[in-house]
Amino acid sequence: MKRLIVISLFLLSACASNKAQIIPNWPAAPADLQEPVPDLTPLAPEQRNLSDLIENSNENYTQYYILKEKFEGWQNWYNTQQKIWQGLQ
Amino acid sequence: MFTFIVNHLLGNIPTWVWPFAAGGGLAVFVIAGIASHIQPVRIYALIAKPIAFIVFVLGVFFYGGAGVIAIQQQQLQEAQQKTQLAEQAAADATKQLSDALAANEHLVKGRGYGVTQIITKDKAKIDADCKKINDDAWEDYNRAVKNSGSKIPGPKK
Repeated sequence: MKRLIVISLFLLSACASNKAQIIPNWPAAPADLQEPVPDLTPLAPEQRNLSDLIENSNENYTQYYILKEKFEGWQNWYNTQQKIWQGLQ
Repeated sequence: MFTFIVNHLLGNIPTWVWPFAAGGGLAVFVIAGIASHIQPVRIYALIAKPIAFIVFVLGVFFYGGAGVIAIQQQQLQEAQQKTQLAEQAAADATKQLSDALAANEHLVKGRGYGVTQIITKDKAKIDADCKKINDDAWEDYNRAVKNSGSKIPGPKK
């Protein structure tokens, strides 16, 4: 009986297995999101009119909205990739 | 070392060998058990019996191992398929986002350009009430633009 138990345990060792797992390549983020962030544009010394200031503000606000799009793009990209990645677990 | 030998044997010997070995080993074991009662062949039976038992055990062991490897290979194939699909989905999502980003950026720039046009059109009216902005206003504005706590060298001479 003892021998049978030992033999059974020995046979069971062949059943030890690791779950097959493949790690997918983490995708590269869109190139637009990896561009360096530009600085806001200050007023040049010769720009002294109120219209210059408003124009400059418009330029900087446009820059902000572009960066806002990019920031939301990052969030969107990350959340999407995370969902896809979690689907693999 | 044990794992290496097992994997090596399982990888190089066809799977069908193992049930044959187990069946053959068991048959020889039973026959040797009977033969051990027959005097002329008793000595051979006594030698064959433990060998047949070992062959039987090894046959069962490796047949089980081959089964596990087959399951693992199937799991691996499924995982590879799943990964390929996920990688494709990730690439599609990235492309979709990249296109949406480019379109939105274009829209934002277009709106900014529209505002610039309006400012240019209203330039004379805007500057009529305030011909020149104050030096401090200029400095403070640039300080805000540069997010700087220190004094920005202004246009003042």
